[in-house]
Parts: sequence; C-alpha cells; structure tokens
Amino acid sequence: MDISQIYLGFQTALTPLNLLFCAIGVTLGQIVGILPGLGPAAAIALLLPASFSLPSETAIIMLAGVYYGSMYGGTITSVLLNVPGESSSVVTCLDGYQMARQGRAGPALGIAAFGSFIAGTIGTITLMLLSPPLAEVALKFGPPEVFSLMALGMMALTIFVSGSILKGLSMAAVGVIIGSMGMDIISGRPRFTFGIHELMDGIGFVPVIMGLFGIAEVLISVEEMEKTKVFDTTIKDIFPTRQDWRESFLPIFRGTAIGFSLGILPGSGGVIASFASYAVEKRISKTPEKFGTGVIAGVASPESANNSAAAAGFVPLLALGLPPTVVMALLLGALLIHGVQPGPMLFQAHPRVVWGVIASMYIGNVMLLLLNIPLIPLWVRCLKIPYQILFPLILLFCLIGSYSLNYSVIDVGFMVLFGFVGYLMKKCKYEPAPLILALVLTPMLENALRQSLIISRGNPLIFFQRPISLGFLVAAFCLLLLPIFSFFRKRRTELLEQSDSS
Amino acid sequence: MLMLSKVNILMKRSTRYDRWSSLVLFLLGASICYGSVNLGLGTWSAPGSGFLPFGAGLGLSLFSVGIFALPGTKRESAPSVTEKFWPRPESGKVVSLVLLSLIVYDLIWTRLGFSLTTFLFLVFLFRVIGKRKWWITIMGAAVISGIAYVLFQIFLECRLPTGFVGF
Repeated sequence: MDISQIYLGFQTALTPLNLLFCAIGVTLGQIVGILPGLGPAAAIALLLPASFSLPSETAIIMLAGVYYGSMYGGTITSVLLNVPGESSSVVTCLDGYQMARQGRAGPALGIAAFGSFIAGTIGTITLMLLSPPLAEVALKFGPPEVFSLMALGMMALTIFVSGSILKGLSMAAVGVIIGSMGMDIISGRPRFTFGIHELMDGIGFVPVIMGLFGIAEVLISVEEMEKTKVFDTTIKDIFPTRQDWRESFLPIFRGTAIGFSLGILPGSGGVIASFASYAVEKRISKTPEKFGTGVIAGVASPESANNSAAAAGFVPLLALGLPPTVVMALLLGALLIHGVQPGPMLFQAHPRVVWGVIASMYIGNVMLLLLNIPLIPLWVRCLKIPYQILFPLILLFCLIGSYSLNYSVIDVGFMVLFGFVGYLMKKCKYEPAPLILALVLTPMLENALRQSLIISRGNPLIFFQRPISLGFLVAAFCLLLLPIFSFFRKRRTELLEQSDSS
Repeated sequence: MLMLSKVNILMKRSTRYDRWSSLVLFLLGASICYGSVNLGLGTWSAPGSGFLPFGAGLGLSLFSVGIFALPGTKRESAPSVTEKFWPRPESGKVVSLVLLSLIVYDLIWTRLGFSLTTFLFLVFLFRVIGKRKWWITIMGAAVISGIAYVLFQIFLECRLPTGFVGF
C-alpha cells in the first residue's frame, strides 16, 4: 500500500466541498435509515440525479455516505419502534426493543453507535489494505474470467437475496433483457427499440431504479398508511456504562470480523452478517436463554457486523467492478454515469476518486458518531413525520430526478411504468435486486462474452479451459445447487407427509 | 400415476399469483426469443446482436415454466388464494389514484410548467390521499413547490419545464 495514495485520499476528502457533501450524505443516510419504508437503495436512487452537477469524487463520497449512514440510522427504529428502519437492523429489534421496554433505550442506542463507529473504522482500514492487492490480481483477468466473475456475482446475489431461486433467476434474465435494449455495442444495430428514438441508448438506469425502489415502495406504503407509534420512553444515559462496555467489547470485535468476512462475499451484505453475528453471540454466550430479553451484546454485535459489512462491500466493487449488493450496484451505476469505470484499473486511472471515497469513510464515521449520540432526541422526532407528508415529497423527488437525467418525459414515463411493475413484483414476491444487478452488468457481461467467443474462435469451452474462469463457474454452479438440494429435500419430506396422512 | 398425482399436489401449491406472473414472464421470454432470432443470433465465433437477449429470453421462459409448475415455500410464494391482494378495501383505489396522478403529472408538466403542476400534484396528494386539512394542503403545496423550484432550478441548475406560466 502506497502511503502517498492515502495522503492523496485525505487531501481529496478534506476539501471543503467534499467535507460538506460527506456531511450531507451521512446525515441523509441517517434520516433514511430512521424512516421505515425508505431504504438506502431508494435514497441513492433519489439523490443520483442531484449528483450529476458535482465532481465525480464528491458525488460518490455523498452517495457512499448515504449507504453507511443508513446503517447507523436503522438502529433507532429497531430499538424504539420494534420496526427495522433498514433490513440489516432486523435482528437488532430482538434485544434492542426489549432494552427500550426496560428503560434502557439510551445505552442500546449508544452502544450501537459506538459499535458501528468501531466496526466502520476497522472495516475501512481493512478495505484500504485489501482492495489494491485484489485489484492487482484482477488485472490479470481476460474477458473469459471477467464473464465468469460476473456470472458468479449475479448468481450469488440472486440466491442470497431472493426467497425463490426461480424468481430470482427470472428477474436476472429480465435485467439482462432490459440491459441489452438499445444500440448493440459491437454491430451498432438497434435492439428492441420499437422505433422510439429515445430508446437508442437503452432504458436509462435511473428511471428503472427510481421506479423499482422509489415509486414501488410508495405504492406499497400508501396501501396502509397508519400512524407509527414511537415507544414512549425517555432517552437517557446514552453513554454506555463500564459494565455495558465489558459486555459489549468482544461482541463488537467479533461482529466486526464476521461482518467484514461475510460482507465481502457477493450477495450477502449486512443482513446475513447481522444475523450470523447474533447467532454466534448467542451460541458462545454462557446465558443464551437471555438473548431476546434485552441483552446488550445482542445489539452491539449485529450493529457492528452490518457496519463492517457495509465497508466490506466496497472491496469487490472497487477492486473487481463487481457489486456484491444492490446498493453497491447502484453505486456502480453512479460511478459509470460519472465516467468512472470500477475494476482493477480504477486505482490507477482514478486514484483521487477511489482514495478520496475511502478516506471520506473515516471522516464520515467520525461525523456519524458526533451526529448520532447528541442528536438522538432529534432523530426520534424524525420518526414522527407523518407518511402522508413524506410520500408526496418522495414522489416529487422521483419525478424531478428521472426527468433531469435527459430532460425527457419518456424517462419519467418509464419510471412510472417500472414503479407499477415493481409494485406488482413486490405483491408477487419477486425481488428487484437481481434485475438491477443484471441491468448494470449486462453491457460489460455481453462485451466479455462476445470477446471471449471471438478470441476462442467460437469455442464456448474457453470458459472452462482457463483455471480462474473455471473456478468462478464451479463456485456459481455450487451456489446454484445449494437451494436446489434444499428444495428437493423439503418437497420429499412434504410429499411423504402428505402420502402418509392420506 | 404416482408421478401425475405428485404433479397435481405441486400444482395445487403453486399460487394463483405465481401462475399469472409466470405466464406473463413466459410470454415476455418467448417474445424476446422471437425478436432475437429476427435480430440475428450470429455464430459461436461471431455472435450476433440477438445472441445474448436470446439466451436471456430462453432462460426466462424456462424459469417461468418452473415458477408455474413448482410450488414455493411459504416464504417465497406470492400471497396464497386466501390472503387478500389489498390489505384494506380502499387500498386499490389509493394506489390507482397515486399512479394516475403520476401519469397526469408527466403528461401536463411540459404544458403547465413545473411550479403550477407540482402545486396541483401536491394539493391532490395531500388532500385526497393524505386527507390533510385545506389550509395545510394549500400552504404545504405552495411552500414545497417553491422550495423545489429554488433547489432544483436555481441551485442544481436543472432545466425544469417552464410551460405557459414561464416557471
């Protein structure tokens, strides 16, 4: 690791403009994490068009801040409402809410903030250490390896995120179809444009994500607009006591390690990391029966895990150009819109962007700690904003955002269409994440596929003849087998039970 | 016979929503396959424009057959027949009105201009969907339209539609 690069990163992150947008990003992220029904993916989608006029490093610093900021904010609703503001804070409800019921909401929120800070900082240091060597290895990848790696990434996300593998795979296929619309990058022929001039560049990434994450979320939420009830408690003693620290110290570090290890893998993200760390704490605890009744380790560990997983997700994104989660796919889209191609060349081609973003994560974590602890009463007030006021604002942001990309009403029309499609997808339990990842990756995937076939003179076995590519494909195949085995085992048991009863 | 009875059990478990959605996906996949063949699949050594979409369309058709035929677990399946599609009787009306307001907004804002359209859009949402009082509705819509105009048109330099009003 070159120390001059770190210096360059801090030099970039500490400019007044970047500091300002880092603060804006983490504050918005914190608010987004607090508000149920508005996740970081939707927030990044909403803010993406507003970032167009900013320099690339400033835009990515702000959007990354929204992501890791939301990890801090999600805890507050989990503790006070028993409703996770963010999916990776689901497990925090178990002990956090019980602590609030016992009048210990303050220590629960305090330890979550400190744990998140420690995990976020360690995660960023590890990201800094791991990404450059990984990028150097990835420099040796040719088109077949790139294709196989992307196939692995898509497979992993599809399997880990989707409840049903078939639904996940079908969404990935729809993503590839939408991603291949527009002019063919090699032959220049229009594909599925139906004579519409605006479709020559394909369907924009921004209208699709705004529709699927912004509009669809609103449509689902307006179905049942009920007043949220904040747990009526006084937030006091936010700074954890010595006893709290003693009980949380090791869980924070274990959560950080588990979170980073799982967060780096494609498809897992903060949700699996937080559940895994909670399960580990419960298993190694001398009093596992107390978990779920308000144990501080049950808050400290998962909150640390989801924050370090958030930092870990940047490793495959920055070093390989492979987004491991849907939020990272959105950040990949944002980087591409700003003319920055993530992947092995990123560290050489755009050092200011990559090191600036990494350095801003240290600064952002400090800002979040400073914002989080003293402003907890203010964040609690944010919970009381009625959704009847909030949802028109989200819709307005979506409308302006999708229009301002190309100043096209057709883009707005596509956003509304994808909003409706996303709503139906949610109703029928189709996850949008594989679709988004496939949509973002399709141009690179197609390029790698066609180049590989041209290099091999039409021999598709090229993907199996190169060891690294073969390794990726074998890993993808193994991932595919996991749910298939589990599916047939479950069905066999069910059919046997049914035949026994009849 | 045993095989057929197993298939019957499976079909009963696949929900109505899964069957309809899989049918739509199958038709989409088949149409993409057809369109891709027309674009030209090329050869293995020189893949054509339709090569990748054909693969995706074919995959989509096969996966949709799987969704149609195979049951999901409780977690992964769409709502069962007994589960209501709309959580409340008025949910369908609310969702339709929000969608309609978005479509109308998109159709008229280049003619009426950003500020006026946004004001009317917010009045509709606050009053009809949000059931706010009139004075809150009017005040809120006016203030938010104004702030949005200043933020996006002046600070972020977006070229928002001006319409006949001029702003």
